[in-house]
Amino acid sequence: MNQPLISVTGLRVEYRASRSTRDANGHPRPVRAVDGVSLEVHPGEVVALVGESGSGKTSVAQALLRLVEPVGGRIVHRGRDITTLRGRDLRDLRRSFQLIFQDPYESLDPRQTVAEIITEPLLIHEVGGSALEREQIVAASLTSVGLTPPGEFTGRFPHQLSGGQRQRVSIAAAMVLQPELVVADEPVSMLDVSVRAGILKLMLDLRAQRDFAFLFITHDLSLAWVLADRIAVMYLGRIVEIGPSDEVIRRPIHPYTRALVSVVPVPRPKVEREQVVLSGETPSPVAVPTGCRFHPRCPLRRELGDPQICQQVDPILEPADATHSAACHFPSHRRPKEDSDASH
Amino acid sequence: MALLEIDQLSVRFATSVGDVLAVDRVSLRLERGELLGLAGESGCGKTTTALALPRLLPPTARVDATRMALDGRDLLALTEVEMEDVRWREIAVVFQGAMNALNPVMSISDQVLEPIQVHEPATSGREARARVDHLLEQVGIPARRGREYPHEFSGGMRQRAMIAMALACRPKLLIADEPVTALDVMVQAQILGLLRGLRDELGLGMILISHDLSVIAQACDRTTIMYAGRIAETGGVEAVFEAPAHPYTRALIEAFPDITGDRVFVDGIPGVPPDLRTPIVGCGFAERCPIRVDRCRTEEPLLRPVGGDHLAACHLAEVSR
Amino acid sequence: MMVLSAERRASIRRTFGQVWADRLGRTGVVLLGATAIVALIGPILFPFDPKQVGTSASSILRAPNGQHWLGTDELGRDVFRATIEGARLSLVIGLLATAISIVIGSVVGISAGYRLGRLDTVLMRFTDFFLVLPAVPLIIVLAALFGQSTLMIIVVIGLTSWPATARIVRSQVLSLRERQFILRIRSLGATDVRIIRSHILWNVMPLIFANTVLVIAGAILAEATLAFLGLGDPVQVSWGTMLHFAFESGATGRGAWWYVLPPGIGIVMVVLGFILAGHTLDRILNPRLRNR
Repeated sequence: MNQPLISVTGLRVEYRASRSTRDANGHPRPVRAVDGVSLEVHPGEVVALVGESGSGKTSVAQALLRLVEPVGGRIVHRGRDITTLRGRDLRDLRRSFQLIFQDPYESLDPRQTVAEIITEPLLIHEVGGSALEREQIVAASLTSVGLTPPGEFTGRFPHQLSGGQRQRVSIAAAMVLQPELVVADEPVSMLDVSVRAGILKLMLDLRAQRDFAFLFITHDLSLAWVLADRIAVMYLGRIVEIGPSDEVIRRPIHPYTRALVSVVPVPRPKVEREQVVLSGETPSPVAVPTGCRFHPRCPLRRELGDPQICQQVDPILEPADATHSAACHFPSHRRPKEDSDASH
Repeated sequence: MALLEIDQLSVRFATSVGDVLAVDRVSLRLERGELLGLAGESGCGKTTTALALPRLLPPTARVDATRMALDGRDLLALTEVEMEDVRWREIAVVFQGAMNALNPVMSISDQVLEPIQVHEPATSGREARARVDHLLEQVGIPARRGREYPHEFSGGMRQRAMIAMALACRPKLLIADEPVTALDVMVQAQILGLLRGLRDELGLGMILISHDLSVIAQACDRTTIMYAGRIAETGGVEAVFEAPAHPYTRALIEAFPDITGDRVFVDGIPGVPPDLRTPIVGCGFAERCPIRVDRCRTEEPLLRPVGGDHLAACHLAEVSR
Repeated sequence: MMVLSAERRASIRRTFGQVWADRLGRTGVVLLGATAIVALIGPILFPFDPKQVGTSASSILRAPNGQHWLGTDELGRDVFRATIEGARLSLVIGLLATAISIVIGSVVGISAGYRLGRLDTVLMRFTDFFLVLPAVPLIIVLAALFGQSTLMIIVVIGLTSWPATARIVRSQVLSLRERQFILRIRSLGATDVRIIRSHILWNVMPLIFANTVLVIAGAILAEATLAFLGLGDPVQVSWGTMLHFAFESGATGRGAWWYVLPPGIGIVMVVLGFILAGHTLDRILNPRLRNR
């Protein structure tokens, strides 16, 4: 296989916990937001990182872009270790990675005009020579995100734009440096449904034209499915399953993925499917369960008569086939009775 | 007799730039034990329609209707004092973002107790406490956790607490405004299951307001799709989702990926909703509609049956299916 | 460094328009405008010569008359002209002291709020030290060391008034640095200097500006207080020194209202003007900062 654009191995991110969470000795316990994540993104690939709130998906993205400092693991960009890169080298690297945020109301400086927002990356990386040249780049990038005629938008402030338009400005600002990797953190979850599809379509079109890799962070499994080549499902700071989108949705291996897939709302009433509604909620990352972190909520474990291994041994991601892996001691493909198409 | 009857409800908001017609001649029926999904995008008038019932709209709103009745009681004729009695005791509301609306320095039990003390002061303290415990259990909160404070609760648990508060005075109608928005899918499924269970157990009439058609499809019995202040389509969820008669409904349904169906990526709906400050001539969706004809721009399509109690406001309802 | 684009100029014009539309704001602007005109061109039309003292006993502390519109002081000098001259000095001291205060306050506030950690702790303790430093004893000590002068007054007022600004700016920067657009700019590869210069500074600017207007009011009042206590420069005429000498010479006891009222009213007008304009600005600029 060719060299990945970016790869992380054993990534760990911790946050200092508030005073209320201490261990038996009175030491503050860290919040393990990301606890050993390994992931590769290849050039031009669309990968979706799916998880519920608190799963650590945003922390993975931010650590990958070196916006938060990982406490462990390695980040490699085109074969070069960038885990501890600093100063000028790090800033130069940022040119290749771009981030698009969830909230277009928050991610733009309220006191910058659209033209200034899009010009800023050019100024930071000293691209685009003269002011006139930069003006042309701004106009072209506004056109490319569907804000036409560009002259209508350059002088506006964010509060003079609609949510969809702001998100388009964010995208234009992210695209202007021709990045190799674009990370989008829930880019459409704040937008109206009819606007949402337009923004996603725009991102896919841009990717098709410019061939950047795209890491899409979302809680929405069905969006991940239509957008991504591969889906990685996160639970409590770990990737529990990763594989081609269709595989993960149609033939989920991990019991958590299977439960998630079974409850994803679909716009059809009376679809015959067996819903696996997990009771309780994801435990706090301050107190990660022993063994398999999913074991306290796992329906499969109960079904199998509570095997000891689940409470004692932390399962690692193991390939089920060449492209599809899951971290479960009893992956569905190895169980005697094949019942993995229960979703229909 | 239906639990809730609304005929020809219109709501106008006075703004500095003129009147905005947020709800335009909307009629609804809701039976006891029925879960109605009120759906549409932001600004379509779904929340305004529902909040007009308990008169919870801001003072700039002007409400007109030929009839609004709950359980045969004329809501339009009530004085403000009588309406106060109706709110919570007959119509309870779970507001959007209500998960953050809990008082941080009051225990969950005390907050569920409050409406009982306010609306039924005759209830003895012991009886009220027992009812709070029962309510908490009913929404899936162990009664002992009632002593805890909101910050100790997760989003899903807070939403359960809000539902317990809404049910405290045994209402006949529960209005839930975007009750699962911002919750994780698994928690969404839990809360929707809870709402359906309560509906069955208590025989409540429920209006669930949501922008998410998938949620409506999964949880509701009937649905009313609104666009630009008017009803575009209404009917049983199966009829509406399997055979949408209004092009807006169809476009909206298609904007949601369906993991049980084909892996296709559908465009959004081009264009923007009309400006509600100027009266809509013809069909409000005409400018964005892929199948419009000349008539759509001049003549308002009225809601008409397209099969049983399935109604649609489209001149081309038959063609479009 | 920062060129104002047409949009920004329009935005500033709009803000001014909003202040003007507010009744209290407009009162403040009118008061300040009037004082500024008096301070700028008054001394040209009615020059004041401190050496031109009265020559006879009858020329001192005279009530207003045709020659001296607001009477004379205890040395027989013209009170009207002295008041106009005093406006200039009071404003100059107020503005310069405020400049010192705002520059120190903003630099400390931004550095502490943006960097956090140890620097924040050190800077904030430093700020607390200045916060509790009393102006009057400080100037007595400094005057004893370096003699009484206008410069000393400016420095002392500047040094004792910045901590409030620093605290306000710091708290604003604290919330700004957590905003997503700052993270986005950082992810673009911007240096801290650039983030502070082009984003943090622009976003705290309205706050600093509204605060400045209020600080000027405080500085003018502080100058009047210090001068009234006799700690000002005795050679230069400010409203504070006028009041000081009116009191010292017993003019107040003799009912020489024309000597006391003009500087007093001057102080009240200017301070009121700045406070009205400042609060109106604060109300207009700061909600926008919070709610975008």
